Amino acid sequence: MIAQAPQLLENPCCDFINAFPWWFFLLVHVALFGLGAFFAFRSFEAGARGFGWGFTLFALAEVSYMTYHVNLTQFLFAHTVSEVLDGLAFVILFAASLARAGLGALDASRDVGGVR
Amino acid sequence: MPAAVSIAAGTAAAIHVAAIGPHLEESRLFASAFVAMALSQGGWMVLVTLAPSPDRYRAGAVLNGGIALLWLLSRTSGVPVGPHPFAPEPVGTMDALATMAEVVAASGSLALARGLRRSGRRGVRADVPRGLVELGSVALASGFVASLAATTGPHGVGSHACCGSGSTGHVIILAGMLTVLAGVLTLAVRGGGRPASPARGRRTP
Repeated sequence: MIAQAPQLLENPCCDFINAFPWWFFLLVHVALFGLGAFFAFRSFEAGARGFGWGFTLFALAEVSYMTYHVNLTQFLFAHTVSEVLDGLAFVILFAASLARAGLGALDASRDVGGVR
Repeated sequence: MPAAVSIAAGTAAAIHVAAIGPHLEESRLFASAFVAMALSQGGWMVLVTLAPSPDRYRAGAVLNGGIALLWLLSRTSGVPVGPHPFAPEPVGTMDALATMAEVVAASGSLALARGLRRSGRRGVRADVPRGLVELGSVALASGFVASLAATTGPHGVGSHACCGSGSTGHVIILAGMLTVLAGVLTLAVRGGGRPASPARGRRTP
């Protein structure tokens, strides 16, 4: 029974994705990489290291996707590595945002204390 | 304009890299010529992206214009050397695009050389992180255009990877990504960029 069940990668759903031209996927990866690298560059320039590293990891995830497109890695390997990098980037960006918000709140309370 | 000229030269270089393999089967002389063209155009693209100057732009005009003229010769009377001397070759999509890119690079280089000379500037040398980011961005754009030119037809089901000569453009895109990242990481290791400027609108006492 289990042996007769549809196997992984034989699912018929969403086959329309294969109709997209290859350059569309490439364009998406290049555009996202450009966005991530630009944000990382500007963040490091402004001295916001947490944001810089978060966006750098995001850009690195796009590089990992590209290794599949140049036939260096397997589809699942490249996508797994990319998702781990994206996850780490997400956590670092969240932590950097919290740290910045916390510092802002601290500054505001100091200002209020000074007035009193 | 400087970015367009660099991307045009990079695109021509990428297409010449993709043409090395097919020409190697035909003639070692032709394959060597394509290696030389790719290296000279790619090297020139790196030079003018990192440190542009009127002399370098003039040299680029001669280089790219000369290669475009050589292509015209090969498609009309044929080149006098190789396995089939004086036999004109047919015009293809990739070589026509490479020639268009060379014409853009040559004419743009002349205009930029003239502009730099008139303004009295000798060119601006980019600092290392910014230079790497600019160079990588040019490689990204060149690789993407070369990929579009080199491949035709739909990809296979279950695979968005490209094949044949198109993979040359993809490898150049990957190299461009790594170069941009090298610039970003250089800036990160340095510990920041420009010194913070005073906020707009804030008055100093």
